Amino acid sequence: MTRTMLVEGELTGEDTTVTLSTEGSVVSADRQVPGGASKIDRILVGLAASFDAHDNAVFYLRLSGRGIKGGEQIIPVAAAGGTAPQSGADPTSNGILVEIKDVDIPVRPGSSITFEGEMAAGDVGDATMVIDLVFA
Amino acid sequence: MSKEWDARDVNMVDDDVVIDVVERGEDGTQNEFDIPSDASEISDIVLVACSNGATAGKGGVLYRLSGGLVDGEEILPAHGSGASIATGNERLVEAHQLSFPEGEGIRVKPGGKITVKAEMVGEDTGEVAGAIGLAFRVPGGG
Repeated sequence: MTRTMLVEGELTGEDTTVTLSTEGSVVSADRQVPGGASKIDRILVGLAASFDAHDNAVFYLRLSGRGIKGGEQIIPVAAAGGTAPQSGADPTSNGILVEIKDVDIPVRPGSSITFEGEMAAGDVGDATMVIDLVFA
Repeated sequence: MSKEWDARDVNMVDDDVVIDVVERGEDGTQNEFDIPSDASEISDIVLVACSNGATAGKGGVLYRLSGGLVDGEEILPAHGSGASIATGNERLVEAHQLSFPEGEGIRVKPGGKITVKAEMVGEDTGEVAGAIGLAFRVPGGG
């Protein structure tokens, strides 16, 4: 059984969900729950923000669709905040990888999952989010 | 057993001021968390917050959970932030997952509601965006 499913994409705008469906060079990633899978066991999320806007925000992962037995599931995965650097100074880079364990979200093999990312409660510009589900 | 996940977010602007955590991104105001009618406990709490560092100083964030909890109010920390100047503080922080084994979670009243309040504590470090996720353990599985 294939155990992982990955999508990625760009988040823009405060309190606006974005459907994530690409997988790098793969324009439309396979989002069907693998046969034999009974639940989502772990979730990995990679995230980096542009800080084109200096504010603060939180980031959500949303899972829905027929592939998720219990309806939409929403999990916060990160937060960001910042102020502009002094004139002539360089800002620091950012980026994280966070793991949510023992997720225990039941799934339907053969059905699709809809992935959405969201920047909420503020706006720090754009963000790239990568979501990987690990099935069991 | 399986889990059902939900979340709320908030923006805090003053220290030592308690504020309701009732928003959920583009869904807008959702008020309290609804406890599933077949839930027995909270299995996981996901905590995250980040200051914009617009004010030099040091501080933290607390989340207060109350309402449909069998054993009363629970209080949890989410964030620490400090800087000597209010410039160049671009940061991204990971959410922290607090997990409880089955049977050892925070007991809840099925069908009830959980109220979450947050506050910035210590010194004012500017504005803080925060979010809290709750996972309820329910019967059934994959």
